[in-house]
Amino acid sequence: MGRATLTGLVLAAAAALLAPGRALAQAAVRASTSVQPSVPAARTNFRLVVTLEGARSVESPTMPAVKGLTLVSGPQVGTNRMNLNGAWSYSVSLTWVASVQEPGDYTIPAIRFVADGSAVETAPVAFRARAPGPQDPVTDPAALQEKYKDSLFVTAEVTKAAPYVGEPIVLTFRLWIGTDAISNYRGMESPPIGGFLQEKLGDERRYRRTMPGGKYFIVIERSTLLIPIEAGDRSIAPVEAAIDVRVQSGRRRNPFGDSIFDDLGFGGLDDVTAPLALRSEPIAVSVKPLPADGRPPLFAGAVGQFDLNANVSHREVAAGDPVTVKIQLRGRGNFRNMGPPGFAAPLAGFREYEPERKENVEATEQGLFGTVDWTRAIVPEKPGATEIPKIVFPYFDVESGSYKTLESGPFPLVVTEAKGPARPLVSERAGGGESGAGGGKAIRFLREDVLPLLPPPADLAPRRSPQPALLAVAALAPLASLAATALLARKRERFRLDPAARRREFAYKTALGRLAEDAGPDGVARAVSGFIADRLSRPAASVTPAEVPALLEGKGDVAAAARDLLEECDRLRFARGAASDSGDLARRAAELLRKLKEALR
Amino acid sequence: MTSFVGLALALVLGSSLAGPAERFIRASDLYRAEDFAGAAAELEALRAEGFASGPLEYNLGNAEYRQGRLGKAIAAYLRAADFMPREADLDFNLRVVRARRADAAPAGGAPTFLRSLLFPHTLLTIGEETALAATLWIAGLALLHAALFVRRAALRRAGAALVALAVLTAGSIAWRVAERSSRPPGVVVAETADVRTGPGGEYPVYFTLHDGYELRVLERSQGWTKVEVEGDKRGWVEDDRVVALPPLFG
Repeated sequence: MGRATLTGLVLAAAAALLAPGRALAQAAVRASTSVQPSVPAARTNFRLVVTLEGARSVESPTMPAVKGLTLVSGPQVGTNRMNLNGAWSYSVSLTWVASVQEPGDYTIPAIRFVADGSAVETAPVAFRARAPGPQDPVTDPAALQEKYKDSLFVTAEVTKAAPYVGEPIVLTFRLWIGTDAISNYRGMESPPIGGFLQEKLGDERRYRRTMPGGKYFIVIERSTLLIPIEAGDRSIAPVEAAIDVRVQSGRRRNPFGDSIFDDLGFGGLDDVTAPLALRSEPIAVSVKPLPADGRPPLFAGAVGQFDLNANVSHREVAAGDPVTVKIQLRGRGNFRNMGPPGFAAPLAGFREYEPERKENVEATEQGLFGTVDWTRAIVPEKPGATEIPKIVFPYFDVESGSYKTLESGPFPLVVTEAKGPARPLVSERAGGGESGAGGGKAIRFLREDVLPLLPPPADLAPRRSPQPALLAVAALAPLASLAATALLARKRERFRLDPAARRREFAYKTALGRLAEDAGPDGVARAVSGFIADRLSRPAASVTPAEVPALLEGKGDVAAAARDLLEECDRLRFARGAASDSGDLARRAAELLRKLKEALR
Repeated sequence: MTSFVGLALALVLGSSLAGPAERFIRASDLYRAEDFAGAAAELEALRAEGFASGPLEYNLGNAEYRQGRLGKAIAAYLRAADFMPREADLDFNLRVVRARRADAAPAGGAPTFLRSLLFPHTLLTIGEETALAATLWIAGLALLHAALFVRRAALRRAGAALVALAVLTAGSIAWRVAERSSRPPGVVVAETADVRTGPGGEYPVYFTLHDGYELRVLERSQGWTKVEVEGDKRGWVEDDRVVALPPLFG
């Protein structure tokens, strides 16, 4: 016998051993697929139902792709249990809602499932889709758009079609809903808008509006603040709103009740729906340039209406100590892209530091309102009487169509002799000496000093070390809670899909409950036989005294004890006048249940 | 006699009987009266008693600087940065004092964009970063809890993202704490500090550092401290010439 022959024999033997098991697994669960209705119309929704006879649970399958077929929703999983002549039968059904765009022949290939831990496969199913008739709930977008043109539409508008550069305007998109046929609102897709700074104005608003003819609409509105950044003609592309329209429904709803707000996004399986995309018209915006005539030299792009307020922290200061200049600008305008107020003349004899900007500006449908504060440290370098130049802020006033300039100051300042250590604090840039490398005069820093003290803190307290054990417990407790919750959720899901498992789990508790309800022969028999049935996933009616030894085979004395107790219960129930001690019977039943619980663990 | 003892006790204990806030204010008054040594001593006493805060270290840095002690000033400012890493005045003062040092400054820290990117690591105190990690952790796990009941993939993904950020932040905290414990930053606090090749006066001088030079402290042994300079030069200096920053938790 050659080596190849021997290998072939071993493989054949292995296949022979494995084949019955596979056949058994597949024979235990029968899978079938159906299309409802059997000949659906194109562009309408229909159901695709897979039934697994004999299965108690199924893992979510993956539906293979079929050209031209769209799965609208699903699968919805249903478990069924039926008692036929004392024996329970189980089945699981999975239902998808699907549609096809074109009439023709379609084939759904085999679908693989894992049911009760075994692999199951459906047979391929072919079906024919017919052309839609006048009675069919058509889901064709063009037909739907025509049907709902007066009750479902999107509009777009701007507050000003010809703004100046820098003048904030508001762009508003509105979805108008004047029908109860909408089942799901999936959102509005804003177009890209070039040539503007953009700022979203809050979340989408929803409100009701009655039109002059008395027709009610629900309006979903989204607004964006736009600040033009360059002159020229611009076109704002259409916005697209994505919705699902209910073309056939089993239930009515109040078209203008609150339910439409509540139900958006929660269409039921019974609804036949179709997606619909609605577009607004494009908008033309002509951005005007700011006039060149009369433009102030320090103009830095501010457009709007403003007030200016400025002050300085000291009127007398030592050379080298900082003076803080605070400038506040208040009003309405393009705060987002304008320069800060500046000094009317160069700051001679001061070192300047970068200003710190704090903004409290709110974007509203009337524009940008608020205040911006700039805090700037400047350090006088030489003693003597000097002044901080006035602060100016030129801006373009849209109302009057002209430039205006706000002013504050100048601020006189007396600079006294420097304090601090005697150490000469002189450093030089560009190689030292009076001349730099390029031949020009080098910059000489006459003095640089540390900033003043800080005030006492509110929380001056001894330093405390954290407790590592406490930190570890605090960090791990939520994780442990998540693990426990995940286990509970998993168990709950298992019980939902497999009622028999739930019966097995709570068999002992249920039996004790029955015993507590009725300690007589009836109650005891129901508790004991029920416990055995639940634990073995059998119908309760099949657990008779005669069947118990076979059911509990290999479990030792407990089988005989259960049979004896059930026979005694039968005798007491049917032999009228027989003396019975309910307390003793219940006590023995409880003891038996405890032993059964151990034996059937 | 009794009143004399009481007066003496009041004078001796006056400092410690006043509250920490009053003593802080007294130190500020001493500073303004140009008694910089008195101000530094008062603030050092508060530190020695376990009080800790950014303004305390900042003001101590100012007081040390006014006495010409650059190293002690830098050490105080660096300790202050543990409490208020975003304080602009502190940054400014540290720059002013560092500019006065005799030695060329070692290479600076991470670039600004990297500091911004790693903001929990560079711009938050260790307490703030811990609070951030805890918030991310609890929020992430709460979302994951909710995702068990409301089966939304977005919820699960958001929860997982927050938990991942919490773990990253916790890693950043662990890195900071470990680095500060194993090789804390240190500063030369004497006019000069000879760095020798071994822990003893008999070892040859490798190079000399000056007041305010910043280095890393590696270990201490029998009155000598092993230091690392500019990332690759290692040697030993006398203990009292270098101070190390304290651990972040401790």
